[in-house]
Amino acid sequence: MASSTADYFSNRPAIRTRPPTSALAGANAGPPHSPRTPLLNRSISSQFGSPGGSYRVEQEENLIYELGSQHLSAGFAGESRPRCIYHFTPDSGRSVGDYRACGPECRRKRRKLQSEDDWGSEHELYRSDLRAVDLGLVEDKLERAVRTVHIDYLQLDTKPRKAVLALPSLLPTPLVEIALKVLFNHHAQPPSVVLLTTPLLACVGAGLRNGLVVELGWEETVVTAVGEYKEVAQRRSVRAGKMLTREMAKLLQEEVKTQLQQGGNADESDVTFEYAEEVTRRMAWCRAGNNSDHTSGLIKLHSPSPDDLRHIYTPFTRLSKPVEDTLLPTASTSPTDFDDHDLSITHLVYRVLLSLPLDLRALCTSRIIITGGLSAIPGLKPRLLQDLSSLIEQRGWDHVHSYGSATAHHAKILQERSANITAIANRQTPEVQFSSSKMPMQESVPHVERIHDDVQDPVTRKVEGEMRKGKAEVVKTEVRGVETLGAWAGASLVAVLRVKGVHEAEREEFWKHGLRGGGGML
Amino acid sequence: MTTAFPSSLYACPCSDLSSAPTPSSKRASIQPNTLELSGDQAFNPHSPRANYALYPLSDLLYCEECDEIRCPRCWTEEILYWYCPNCLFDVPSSTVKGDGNRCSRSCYNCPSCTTPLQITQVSHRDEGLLKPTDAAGGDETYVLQCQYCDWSSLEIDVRFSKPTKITEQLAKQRKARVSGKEDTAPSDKKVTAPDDVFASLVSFYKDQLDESGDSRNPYSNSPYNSPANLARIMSLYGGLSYNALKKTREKPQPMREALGAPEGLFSFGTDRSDTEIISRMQTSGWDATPTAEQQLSAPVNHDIRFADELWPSATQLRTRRAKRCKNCRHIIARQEPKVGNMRYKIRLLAMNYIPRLSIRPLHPTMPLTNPAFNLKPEMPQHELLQPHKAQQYVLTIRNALFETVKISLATPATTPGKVASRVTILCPSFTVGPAGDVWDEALSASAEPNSDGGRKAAMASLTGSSESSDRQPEAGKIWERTRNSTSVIVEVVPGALQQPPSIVRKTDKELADEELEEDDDVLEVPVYVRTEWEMEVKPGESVQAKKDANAMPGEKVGKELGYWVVLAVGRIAG
Repeated sequence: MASSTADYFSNRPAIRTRPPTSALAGANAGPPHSPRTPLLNRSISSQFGSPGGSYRVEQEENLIYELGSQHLSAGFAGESRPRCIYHFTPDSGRSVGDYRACGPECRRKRRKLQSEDDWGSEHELYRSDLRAVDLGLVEDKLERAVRTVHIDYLQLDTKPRKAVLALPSLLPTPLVEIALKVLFNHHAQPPSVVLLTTPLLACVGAGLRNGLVVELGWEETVVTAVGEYKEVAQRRSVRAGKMLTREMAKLLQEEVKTQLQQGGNADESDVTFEYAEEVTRRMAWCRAGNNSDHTSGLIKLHSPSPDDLRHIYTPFTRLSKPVEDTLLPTASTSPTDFDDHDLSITHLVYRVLLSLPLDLRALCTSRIIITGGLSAIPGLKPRLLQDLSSLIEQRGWDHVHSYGSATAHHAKILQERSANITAIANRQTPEVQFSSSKMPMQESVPHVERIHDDVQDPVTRKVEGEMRKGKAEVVKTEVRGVETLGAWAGASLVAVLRVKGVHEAEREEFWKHGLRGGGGML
Repeated sequence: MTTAFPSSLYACPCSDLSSAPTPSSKRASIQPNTLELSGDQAFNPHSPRANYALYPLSDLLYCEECDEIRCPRCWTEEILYWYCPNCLFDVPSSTVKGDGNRCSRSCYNCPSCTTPLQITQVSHRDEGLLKPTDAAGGDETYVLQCQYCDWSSLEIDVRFSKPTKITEQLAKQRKARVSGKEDTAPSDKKVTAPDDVFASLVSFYKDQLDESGDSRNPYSNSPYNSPANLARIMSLYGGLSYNALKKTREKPQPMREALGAPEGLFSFGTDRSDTEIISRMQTSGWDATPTAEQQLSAPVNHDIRFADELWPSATQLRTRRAKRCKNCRHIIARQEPKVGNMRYKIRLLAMNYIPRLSIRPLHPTMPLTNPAFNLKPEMPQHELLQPHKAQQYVLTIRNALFETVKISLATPATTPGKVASRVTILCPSFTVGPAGDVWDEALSASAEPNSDGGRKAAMASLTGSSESSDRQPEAGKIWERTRNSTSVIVEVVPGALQQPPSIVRKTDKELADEELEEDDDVLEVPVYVRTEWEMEVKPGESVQAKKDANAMPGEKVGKELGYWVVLAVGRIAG
């Protein structure tokens, strides 16, 4: 049998080659100002061949992967949603032929105790502290994920397709290397993988060039300022999903203890990670203001163990507490004493904004993009914006939080400065009045010496008005949030527009030189 | 890590976890007793990575060209055809991607419980009962209904006028719903579907890229691509000078950002748009929110908030795939490319090539059941192993090849993992006879002088007392040998689950390390199997692999194969 297959393959036609897209794409849009032979806008193939030729180029499809610490989403470029989101769970890590996950008693055998730093580790692909991470295991997990995604959801033929990989910014290099290795090693065989970071893609997905991206992720909350599609400033905090589910678990444990565990079987109804996460995902919310309260009603929740048919009741208001305690803790002491991990997300955002140059800050303040898994928590986005605007109102843009004994001195300087500003403004206004009113009297004055106001000049105004036509005013300085489609959709946008990636790993180069040599990755 | 004991799993050598012991010990394994393993060389079945390397033998394939075991990691797959598991029609490859890898016929899955939905006719009276106000419909309406959880498309207020072309009707209703929402609440921008936002963003970016000019150079492959070249050519023909050219080229305007809703920009302020969701969460409670599985069931449901927004998803297509060896690109499994035909044209199962290991107790205290014949749903109860009590097992190696095979086994003296059990293979090196037809065995058995040996053995097994029970296992001796299988004795002393109490107080870390996780109490013995056999080179096969490239037809070529097998013996009593 094998010998018969051998010559079958030697006769196998070579993989069809197609002309590079860059050569053909130019047929649509040439450079407007460079001298050139007039291009045939109608393609030659339309005259001499079937019209299908030009469409085929359009159809070059890229694969988009987005890698998070808990999930891998994959799909095709040009689509608004990923085809699938693969979550890493303990059950997805079972060996082949082990069907206990489908059995009735699998849940009971889960391990009960989960220590503080072990929390949710079975649901993670990696964590950014690589000292405790088995990289081989990460590779195994990711390899299986990519394989499953391809077999179950993408179902592609063997044509090689380019891939775009969206990664969290500052992902440790070994992990990037593993991700590339897995993608290149998979039999879909992408000729190259473009690497992009998620804050940037969130910005693209919102339609912006500049913006402040707040990623409420699993392990960390990352606040990134993006200026002209570049990451400019970044701050991180561990106040994120992991901490939130942990807080939620504590709250639920209290409820369970008071309501269910009179019998004393403490082990049975222990709050598991899965339960805490599900409650967080389904029922967590955030109050609009710190002291605004909703009419408290009771919410019925299932008991943590699936065999227990009893319910626990908890006030609805309580379910907003973990979110607020985790992400928006009220600073009891001066925030100068805290490091980034102690700050509320609002303060973190404020600090990033404060570190930006003035004009970028003005742009970013009104382009706040909140994304990430936790951004779906109802009430959280408006609350963040509200807190931020009140913080800005209260503090202004002053780097110094407290002047201490110099407060009076500083106030004096400010006063003087503002007096100067008003004086200048006052001095200018009569001048303008003068020039406009005295215009006819300037006839005798030579041209050079005439008082002329460029701003008020009718010609200038007309030109400016023409220029401004069709352009809306750029929104600045006011606090405003912008919705984004997310990093995956951003990557899909980038790929469908055929923007050339700066960081592109070529398959052959990668196998030869690894990450360091591969196309100038590092 | 299985639930049925005893059982065996095979590790594909492609994983770096399951690499061969070391070259030196491999060489030494010609003298069988010197194939020894130190603790860290051994394959650890309890490591979390082992789950990704171990397979049941039935899942593994074998490449004849490379003489290697192939697992899903080291074969590539190519799709023969796509088909819907519900209606069993195949789908042409051109439409697969456009339909989202989903069936475009009327196959829908319940968004609530993933059961296939059925098209049910709702008679007019019934409908009146369900929804008294909505009396003005067609004569008969149809809904999608789940037979298992009783979800029906009435819950999302979707009904159909005819029982055919469900996909078109559903798509139309969804479109109407999305755009209808916009009409009713034009001020509320948030209801705009992400698909629309995406489309407007795409068109916006396309416009901007076209406007912002020559980012896309059409001459990338021609000699005119660089400005210097172009200037040279232009000056040759008396055109503009390079400097003049530079001037005419004005700096392209950078692409601007999206500015309004038509360009895909949606802002949210501090207004309380989420209050509605919160109050709904409060009133309708836990059951109104979807589970994670429901959300992930289809891309349409990825970002819904409430269970009544669940949209039925068309059945996900499945594929029939051929498998190729990743190294030599030869097909190792391929079915008939016809829907419904399960026949394989090529299927090189590892089972037919590599020796199979099975283990059973020497003195079973309860009858062994084959898990395949387990008719009751509950798990069969296994006897727990007593720690520190030596047990003897019969390890049977069955040969699938038509050649005699030399086997050497190696196992670490103590099993890796938290519970260390001592394992000794009494006879680690032996040969196994060739396989053949079943008739061969029967005929050869009858030809033996001791012809009623089979009956004797049968009698013995019935009465339970036989000469074999008196036999004592000896080191270096084979326990039992049939035509194509050989059995040896393995002695296992299970370790204790609890560490012995120590006088020194343990730190928290040590205590945490001692904590047993799922399946830590399973006694699993990793065994490295090395097989050697000689194969006659058939004419025409001489140029297959490198190592026997210069072998002449008819000559014998030595082959060898090494792999790890994990024998799950049982659970240790705590």
